[in-house]
Amino acid sequence: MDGIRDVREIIREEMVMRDRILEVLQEGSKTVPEIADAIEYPSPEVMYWVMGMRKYGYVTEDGQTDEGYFLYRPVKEEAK
Amino acid sequence: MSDRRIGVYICHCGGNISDYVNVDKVKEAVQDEPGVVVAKTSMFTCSDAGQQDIIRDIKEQNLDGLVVASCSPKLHLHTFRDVAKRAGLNPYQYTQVNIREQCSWTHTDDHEGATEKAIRLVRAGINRTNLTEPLHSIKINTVPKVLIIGAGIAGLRAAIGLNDIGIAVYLAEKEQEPGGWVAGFGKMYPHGRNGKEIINQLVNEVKKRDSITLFTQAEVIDKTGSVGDFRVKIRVRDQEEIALHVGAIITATGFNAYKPHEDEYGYGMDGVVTLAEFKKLLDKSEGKIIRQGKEIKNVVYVYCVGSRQGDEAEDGNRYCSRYCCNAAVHSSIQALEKNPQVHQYHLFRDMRTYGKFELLLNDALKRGSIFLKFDENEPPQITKGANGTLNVTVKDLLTFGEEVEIEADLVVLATGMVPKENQKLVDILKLPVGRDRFFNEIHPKLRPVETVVDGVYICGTCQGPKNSAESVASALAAVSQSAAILKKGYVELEPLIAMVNREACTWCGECETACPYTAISKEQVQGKEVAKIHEALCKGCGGCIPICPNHALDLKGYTDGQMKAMIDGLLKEKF
Amino acid sequence: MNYDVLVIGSGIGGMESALKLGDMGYKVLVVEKEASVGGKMILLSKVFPTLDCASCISTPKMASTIHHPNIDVMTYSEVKEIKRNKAGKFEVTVLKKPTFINENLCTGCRECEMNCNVAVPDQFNFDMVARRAAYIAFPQSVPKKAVIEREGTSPCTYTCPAGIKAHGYTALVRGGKYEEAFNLVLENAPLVGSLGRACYAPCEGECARGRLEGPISIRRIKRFVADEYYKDHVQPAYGVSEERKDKKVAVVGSGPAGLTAAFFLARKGYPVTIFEAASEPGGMLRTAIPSYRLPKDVVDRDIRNVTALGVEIKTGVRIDDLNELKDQGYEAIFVASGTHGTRKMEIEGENLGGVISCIDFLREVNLGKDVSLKDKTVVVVGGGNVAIDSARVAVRLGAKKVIVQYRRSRAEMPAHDWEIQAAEDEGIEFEYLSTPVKYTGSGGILAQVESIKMELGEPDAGGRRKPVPVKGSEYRTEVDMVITAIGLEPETKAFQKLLQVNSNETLVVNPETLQTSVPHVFAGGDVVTGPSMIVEAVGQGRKAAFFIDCFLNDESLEGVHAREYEYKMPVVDKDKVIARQQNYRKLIPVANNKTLLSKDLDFTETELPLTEEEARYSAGRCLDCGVCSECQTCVHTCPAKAIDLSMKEEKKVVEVGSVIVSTGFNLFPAKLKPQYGYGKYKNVITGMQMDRLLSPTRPYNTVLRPHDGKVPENIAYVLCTGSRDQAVNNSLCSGVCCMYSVKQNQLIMGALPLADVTVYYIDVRAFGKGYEEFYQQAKDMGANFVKGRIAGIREKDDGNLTLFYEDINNGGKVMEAEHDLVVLSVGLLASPDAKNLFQNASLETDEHFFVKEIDEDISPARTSIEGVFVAGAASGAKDIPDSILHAGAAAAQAAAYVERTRMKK
Repeated sequence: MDGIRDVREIIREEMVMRDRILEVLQEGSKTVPEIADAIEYPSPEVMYWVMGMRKYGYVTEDGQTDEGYFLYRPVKEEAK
Repeated sequence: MSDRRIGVYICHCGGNISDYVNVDKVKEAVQDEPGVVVAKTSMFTCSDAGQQDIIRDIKEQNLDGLVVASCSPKLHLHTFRDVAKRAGLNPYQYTQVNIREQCSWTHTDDHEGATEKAIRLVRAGINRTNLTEPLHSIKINTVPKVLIIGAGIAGLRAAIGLNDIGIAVYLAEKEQEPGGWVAGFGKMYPHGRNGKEIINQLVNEVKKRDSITLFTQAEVIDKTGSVGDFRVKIRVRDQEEIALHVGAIITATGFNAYKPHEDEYGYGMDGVVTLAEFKKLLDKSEGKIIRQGKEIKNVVYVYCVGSRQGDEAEDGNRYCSRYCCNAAVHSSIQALEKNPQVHQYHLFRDMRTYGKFELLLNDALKRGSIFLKFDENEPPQITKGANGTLNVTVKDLLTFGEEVEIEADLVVLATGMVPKENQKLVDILKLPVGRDRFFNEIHPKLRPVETVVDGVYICGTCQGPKNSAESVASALAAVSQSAAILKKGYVELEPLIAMVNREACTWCGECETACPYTAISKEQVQGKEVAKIHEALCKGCGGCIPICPNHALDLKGYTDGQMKAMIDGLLKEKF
Repeated sequence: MNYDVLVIGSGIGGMESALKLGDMGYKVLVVEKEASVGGKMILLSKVFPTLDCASCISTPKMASTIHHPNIDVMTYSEVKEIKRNKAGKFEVTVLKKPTFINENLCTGCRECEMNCNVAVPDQFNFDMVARRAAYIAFPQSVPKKAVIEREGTSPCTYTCPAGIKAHGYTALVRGGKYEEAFNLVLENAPLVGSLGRACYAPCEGECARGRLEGPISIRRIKRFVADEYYKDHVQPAYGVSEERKDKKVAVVGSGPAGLTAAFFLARKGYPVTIFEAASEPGGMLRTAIPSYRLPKDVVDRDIRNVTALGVEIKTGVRIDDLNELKDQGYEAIFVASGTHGTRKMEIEGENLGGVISCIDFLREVNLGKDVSLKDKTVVVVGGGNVAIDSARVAVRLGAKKVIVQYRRSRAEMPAHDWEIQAAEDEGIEFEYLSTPVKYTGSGGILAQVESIKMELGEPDAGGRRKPVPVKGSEYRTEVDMVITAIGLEPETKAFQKLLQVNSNETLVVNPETLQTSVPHVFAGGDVVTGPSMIVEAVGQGRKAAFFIDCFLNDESLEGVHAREYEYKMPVVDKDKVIARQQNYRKLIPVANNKTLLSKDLDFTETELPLTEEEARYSAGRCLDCGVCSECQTCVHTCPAKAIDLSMKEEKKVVEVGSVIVSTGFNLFPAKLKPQYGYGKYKNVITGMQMDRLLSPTRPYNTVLRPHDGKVPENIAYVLCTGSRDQAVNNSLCSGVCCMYSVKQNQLIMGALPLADVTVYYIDVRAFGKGYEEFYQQAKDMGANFVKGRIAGIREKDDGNLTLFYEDINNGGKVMEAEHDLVVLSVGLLASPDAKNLFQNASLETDEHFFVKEIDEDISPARTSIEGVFVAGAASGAKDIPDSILHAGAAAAQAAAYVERTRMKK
């Protein structure tokens, strides 16, 4: 990736990244850095996507790790 | 059972409540209480969407009672009364239940307990609401006149401001001349206007106007009545008593300067003066600053004198006096304008030249003023030096704690503001006094010039330290507030007042003695002497009710029956 | 409508002024540029020194403002200009921006927002999280109504002759909503599969991304959408329209125009019959476009989108007499008979066997006639796309040599470059600057073409250089077949007795309505426009259907309703779109993959489809030019049917007696202090962002590091960021940053009990009532105050930050400290909003661009214009209590001014 990306661009990509992140979370709840590792994107970018998905009801937090990271899990379609 | 149709709304307060109180559980627990036909939770009940939702329910479900379980009634009682009104429901058939201050905020470590308490409180609220009756506010025509107490810059400006909008003003000043502190000032910061000239301009304007009456050497000696309809007595020049009939009272009684006690930073020593004294010296100096025949070449300013006093000073002034940094810096610039050769040293704790006053600080620095920061625990020491000079020693934090010794011709103490001694007025107007002993507004943001006494407003420095322009701004805000009440022509008073059961009353006079508001007197009804409640005077404090040996008194909106029902609600079940 | 006072801006100051004036009985108009009243205060967490939540203080004021009987509020509106008129009053022009949502119907349910397919940074959360193009400003919005952010029509959508929402279906594909994407295309065109293959895609030519690495493959995305949909839906998911009308409509021609018109008419419930002269329906889609470009099963499937609605197609029926249709009971006729005639070259030997027009040639092949050109030599005459199609078909029929003769050079060739390229790849030869002059043969059969070389002369009327024959340059080529493709024209001779016909054989219609001189006859497509694009014909078909419907309903074809046909917002400026971002990640378009060329070319489709991943990647390149993509999802999901994408800006002119400017402040842009790394280091945030993180309506679940979502443990505050700083041209103190930082310290210590907080300060300016006590309280709670200005910040690999500072209170050494989150306490700057509103008077500002108070000592809030007052932070940084008092002062004086001017009258 070429340096710091424009926030507008990263945020726009939530729509493309959403399904990929949900797929990764099917394996189990993950923290932002773990999702970042799984989809091979930097964690600050993943943070935008996960927080957008949280705001719009795709994921929700699922406990916290000892290191101070929240875990996120997909919200079931019917619960939405 | 109940034939009432009550709506209950339990607020999340965006997490303020729902992070601690399980609002869904509260809803479930109360939704089947007698009379309840709607029970809902809401993210922000006070938001427009929340209000609209309630209004819709009241109309569609034909509700005749409303319970809102959210925050303190201090905050939103009027909000939801207004909601009820807009929906066509009598506002007194609504009950506010406080599950924020009383549950979530007080029991942050006990979510279950907080929830349980919330359930009990809401049940009590529902029970009270079941027994509500429509009440109607007491309408009082307002007198389009205002009494302003204090003719300093705030009082003078408020008088003109009110008069501009068509309201007559009585302006009562305790001193011989109007003008207050500002009348004694020369050049003022930040615009360099002359205080005396400003006051003259305002006084001339006041005198020009027929509908502003200025009394000097006047003091308030009595007040009766209520908002919109006050009767005030003032005594002028210690003899003549004048009765005034006004709709509102604005208190603009100003401040006292802090007087350092003996030895505080060398006060009392020759050459140690307060900022106000130094200002006078400056104002009369032309060119060189001469004091007692001697030229002043070295000046040391000590800041925060009488302000920001820590724990060690008993009864100390914890507050910051706001104006003094700016005023002292401005004085030092003025001194340099008179004589560019003056050396000036500022011993400060934090320079608080906030906002645009920072430009004054920059100017002072540019002109060569020296600033030294001292630690509050190691204040500067001032001793008498040889040949009449003063020795000031201070540990300067800006040069890494180096001890600096300054030989000064003059030490200026940047003294703060303290509240005026006003006990008599406080007693007459029942003015609330804050922990800093200045008069207290109801809320600095919601109701910044109102006091707990309806129709009595405060502005200027009697409320807290301010500079002149800030005092004027608050005075004009008080103008807006009083005009907002008086321009309408009437005020509506709470109908939550005492009522008399004439059959039970035997007029023993106990209640009259108990009433702190002189709201109860005797009347003859069909040949029988019974108690009479003066609607406009009764505050609904309830003080008379338990006194009555015959249980002939009750409080509208908080009847004994309602109180008992609330207690039943609180105790309905054991958890 | 006239008002006593106009209040510009509805922050806490504006609301206070308005409420006080309203209570006094004055009529007030409040104009707010955002979608909600409340200004910046409503976005805060809690407010110092009382720690009331900002919502609790603001929302009742917001509700009172909106509901006050004496106050009118215009949100999402801007004051454009203020002029003092002759009567001494102010004439105010206000523009109400369209929200695209009917305020009276919207219930604030957020369905539109939840389903919207465009994500943009949420300005109300200071870009820390996404919002949608359709959104409600924030949860406590007043009014709580959604708005749709639309900057204009996206260039791709704007340029599409069929009005297909290119941006819309791209946005849907980006989010994986393929079926919705298909349905969106279907809203404008039934021929989704055909357009996905054979459209010339003017949208791509307009694509703003074309200015970067290349346009988005919009057409291939459409093909992907069609393929995905058709895979699962052999038949359309709908049947005959439930709405039935009894007026019959005839359509002449089953090409793109005719099919599309029939589709839309049938949807409205009209019984429609299409009359097609050829043996199979589809017009040019069927007969002209070779199946290696457009497989015929795709055409068949597209046509089922039309016939499923009950449209009857009568093939093999040529209509010459339109009156006959009228007699058969068709109350409206749409003529879309295309351009099936070919121009003649008018040269010797044109009638020889073996000389064939391209249209005839392609039709025969496409309709399945067994044609073999094995080992033959073919010359194609012409340079358009049809010429290339013919040549490439000839190759596929086995021709050993195919030559395209074109009278100009390649640069002038009208065929698309990629088509020429493909032809070259397939071994087709090109003879530029040459044209046949004579065909010769024996026994009526062609044997030779005599051609002449040309050179380019002066430009003709159309600007193209005219080819001029070079004398004596004639040459001969032995050929078996010549295919002429020098231009198509309609065959309209038969209609001439009823309709007006142009000299080029096209039909005369009203271009707005496509109505001919005979009211019940409409015409469109190539028969009106001459040879054009499929998508153009589709657009004409839909337009015709619209106006035929008007006609059959006895509605005026020129009424307001008709003018609304295909209303589009102005197109978005691509330069502005590109300028929205500081930088772009390089996203190379997916290469236009083709099936591998083999020696034995057949009619297999040459272009490979996009894979799902490629389609989403391609759609993900979209820049959302118009912001809203017009994907219509909100239109379909809004339970209140409140969405109205045709809403327009409204202009309102009112007269007011006095004006209060309460336009608030701007926050210092932290990027101007590059040494602090804001924007670069994700864990460096601003005080306003921290306030959002602490607020009940926060963007994250709690206070988290934006870098990786960790709960911070060691937070630093950098005071005076952008204040008291000559280096950024702001020597003023902002007056509030110390206190809001102290407030946040207390809130953080409450929310994150394990976190340490350190404040790097110069002076702590706790000057207001109760502030000093509040500051001491934060210290007592454990906040650590360090005197020293931060010189620089550096980021470590784990996102932690190293701060460099001079530790003033402890000997002044240069120190380093590590923190895992840094909050820059940014200051307040003047807002430029009000400066240029006044037309014939000057609103003076101070040297820091705040509105100047000309007599602050006696009349704070008074400005340089009589009757105009300033309230709150528009006149200089102020905290909330001071702003409120100041606003009260402004109200008192505005009231006084109104009274004074009234008395003068």
